[in-house]
Amino acid sequence: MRDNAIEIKGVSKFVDGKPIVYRVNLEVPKGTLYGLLGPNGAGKSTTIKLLTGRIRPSSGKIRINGMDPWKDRVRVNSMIGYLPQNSIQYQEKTVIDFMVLMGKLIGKNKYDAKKDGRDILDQVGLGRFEDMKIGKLSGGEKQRLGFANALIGDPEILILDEPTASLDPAGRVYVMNLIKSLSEDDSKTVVISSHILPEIRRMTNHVAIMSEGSVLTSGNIHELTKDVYDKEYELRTNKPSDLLNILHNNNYSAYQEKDRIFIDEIHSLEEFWSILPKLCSEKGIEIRSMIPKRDSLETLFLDLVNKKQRQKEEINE
Amino acid sequence: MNNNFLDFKIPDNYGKGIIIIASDTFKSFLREKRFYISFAYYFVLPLFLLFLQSAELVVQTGTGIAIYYAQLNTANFVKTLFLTLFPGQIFLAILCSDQIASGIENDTLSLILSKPTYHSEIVLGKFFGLVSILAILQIPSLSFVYYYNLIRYDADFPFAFYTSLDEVVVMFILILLLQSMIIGLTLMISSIFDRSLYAILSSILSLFIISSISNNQTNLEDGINYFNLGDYIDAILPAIFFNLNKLDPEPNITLLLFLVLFLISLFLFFTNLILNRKELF
Repeated sequence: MRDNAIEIKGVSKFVDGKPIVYRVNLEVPKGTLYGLLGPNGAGKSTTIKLLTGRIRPSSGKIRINGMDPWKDRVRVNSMIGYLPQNSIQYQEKTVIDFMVLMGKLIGKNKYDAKKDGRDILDQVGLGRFEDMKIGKLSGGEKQRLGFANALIGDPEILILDEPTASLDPAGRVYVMNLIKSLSEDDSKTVVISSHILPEIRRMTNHVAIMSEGSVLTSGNIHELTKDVYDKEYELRTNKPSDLLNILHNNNYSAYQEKDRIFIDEIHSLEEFWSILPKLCSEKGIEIRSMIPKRDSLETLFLDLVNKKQRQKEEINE
Repeated sequence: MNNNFLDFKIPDNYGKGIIIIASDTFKSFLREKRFYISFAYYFVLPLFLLFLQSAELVVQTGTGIAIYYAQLNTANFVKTLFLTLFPGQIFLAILCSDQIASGIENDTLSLILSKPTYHSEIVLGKFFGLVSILAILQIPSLSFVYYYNLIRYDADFPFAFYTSLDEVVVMFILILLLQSMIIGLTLMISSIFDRSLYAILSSILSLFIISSISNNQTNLEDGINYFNLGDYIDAILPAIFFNLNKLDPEPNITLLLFLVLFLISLFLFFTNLILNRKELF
């Protein structure tokens, strides 16, 4: 069993009496890619700020490699790389000067800081911008620079707050692949917060789903989703109208969007497969694909968030 | 377990951050437009004042009296310089007071704190960086004081002593100490606020309040108001530079230095304390 790089036990954070994070428990094993998934306002960024010692928990205990990030901030920060949500605002500094400054702050001399800074800039695809002022960079380039800053000193733990937020599609893929490549190093733990589910799915192997300041579930993605599947399906066929008629005749709620058919709910897949192939072959309908409308993680996420919402409404009533 | 505060040890590698942040603050300022505006102000101001100075008629009834008037005239020039520098103090507040607040506002402080850097290293680094900037800003004014004396009095009183270079250096250090006090205060105010505009306005306001209070209420035993810049010029500078006392009591230079250093330390201590307890949302 792996040791935990990060442990959060019963942590709450209140701001003006309002719980932003409430009784959060999390264990992040060493060497995992851990995703904090949740809608806007779920408490992901606050949890990240608690982890990096920017804010102090109102109650509970946080340990990063056994150390309290608020009290031992300097020691904790010597082993973490942090990408904040907001882009870097050193407008007048050049990209390489910024990297040298940050490198020197972790104890490197100027020569090493510059050399390592250049290597990292090449790694994140910013090598050709090293003499450009940060203020002149685009939002996506600033985001990459933030990522480059997080990689300085090859930290043991990377904490990335919305790492792909301001990136264009190509930039997203680039950064996601970069993060994924970090998982090849077993000693590195990466915590990523995002509200974009497919990205979390692609980048991480562990996840904590958050909503309204609480963790609804957490663990290995495969284990969490092994019994979860969506009851809505998307079918692609050569004769969508004919298939839609067949489905309606057999009491399935379905609708058509261009060449695709969406079935709202299939309660028994066994029954569905016993009827449909026969009817389709009789009418000459070819089913080219049938996939759940949502992936299992999205289904789990929506189920949990909706359940939480219902519970809240019941309490309010 | 270490419970004894006397066993407090300075952490390894402590101090490097001060030099890095001070040098970064200094270099960053050199790239900013406001530095050049301030530099132009400090450079043009003495020239401007020189034209406003009226030549003082000295009746040469004795060398001592002549020297006295000549030197008082110099002191008067310095005083005018300083009083006109009140807008300079506002410059100072604008230069320094958003140092921490703007770092909080635009998340750059958060980036520095994401590296293994102590709060106190940031505070001291910013402080020394700003002091270095002010040292540069003082050079034109004080060079002018030096040459002004040479130009004005050398011809009339070849035997009289004028402000020598070492005296200008002492004046430079003293002015820098006084301005360091303002830097310390503005840094402290800056650490309270999360928005630079509030920090700048509060610093300017507090400078006005301190000036106004110190003008009335803070005279110490020797009758000199050590909180009042005007008194420094009237009483202390002539005493230091020319061995002349405009006011009767002997100004206590040790007390002055102690007060200034104590206040600087106090402001920096509180800045560090506030920053240490500050949460960066």
